[in-house]
Amino acid sequence: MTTILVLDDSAPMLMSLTRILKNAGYDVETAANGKLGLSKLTGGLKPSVILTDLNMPEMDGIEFIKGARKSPATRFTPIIVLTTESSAKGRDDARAAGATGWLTKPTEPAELLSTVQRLLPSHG
Amino acid sequence: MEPGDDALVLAILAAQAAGVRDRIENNETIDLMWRTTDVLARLAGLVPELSRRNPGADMERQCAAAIVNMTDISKSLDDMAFVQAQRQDFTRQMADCVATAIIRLAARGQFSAEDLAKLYVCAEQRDIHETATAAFHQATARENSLT
Repeated sequence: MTTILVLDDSAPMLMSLTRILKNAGYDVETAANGKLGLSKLTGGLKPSVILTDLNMPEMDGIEFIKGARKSPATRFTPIIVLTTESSAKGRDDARAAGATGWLTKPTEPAELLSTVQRLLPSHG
Repeated sequence: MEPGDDALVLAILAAQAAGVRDRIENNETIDLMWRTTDVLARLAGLVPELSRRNPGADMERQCAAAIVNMTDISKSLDDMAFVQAQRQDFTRQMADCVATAIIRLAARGQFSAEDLAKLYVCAEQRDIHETATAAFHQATARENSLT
């Protein structure tokens, strides 16, 4: 089954994303910040796609992306940023860190799922 | 106001702003939507049994329609909960910014508009900042022209 790692410091967001993705047939792993997300990756988790918030305590999304890109296992894994931040600078920072896609909250479930599907390694 | 009261007032305001943020985080509406969705899913699973125990074309048709409706409502509720969770997260982060700014103002005694701007997490906050700054400068200029 395709596994998606989801990072968000908001418990309702984590739960909601998990439900939407599970209903679409994906396996979901969650983390409440970048540090916990990285520890899942170093623990052996190999997600097909990573979905991350930017503003999180302990370790933010940018630092997480940089950390994930250093690991051979997730060097090329698609990373989608899902955030309230909509500035061009925020996007540029995320892209420079290694983000693949960008969604601004609030987004619709259909848009989230189509972005995930489009970036899945098997797509196309 | 006694000297030192400012710090106390700021500390109280910070606690109140943090309380607002936590209330936003713990909103029960989304949880209720999920619970309703889960109940509907369980009911949809039981409906075929109802049809089996009461055979007949009409019952079969009604049960099939009920399952379609419950599935539709479940999906709509999950979708609404997702959008609601994002809006809630947005508001929580704005409240968190206010709480953090007041806490830092209380701790340092000084906190500039630039310091505040560094806490922003969305364009909406920056727009409010610019509008409020412009209004403040206009009001200040008006006051100065009167004196």
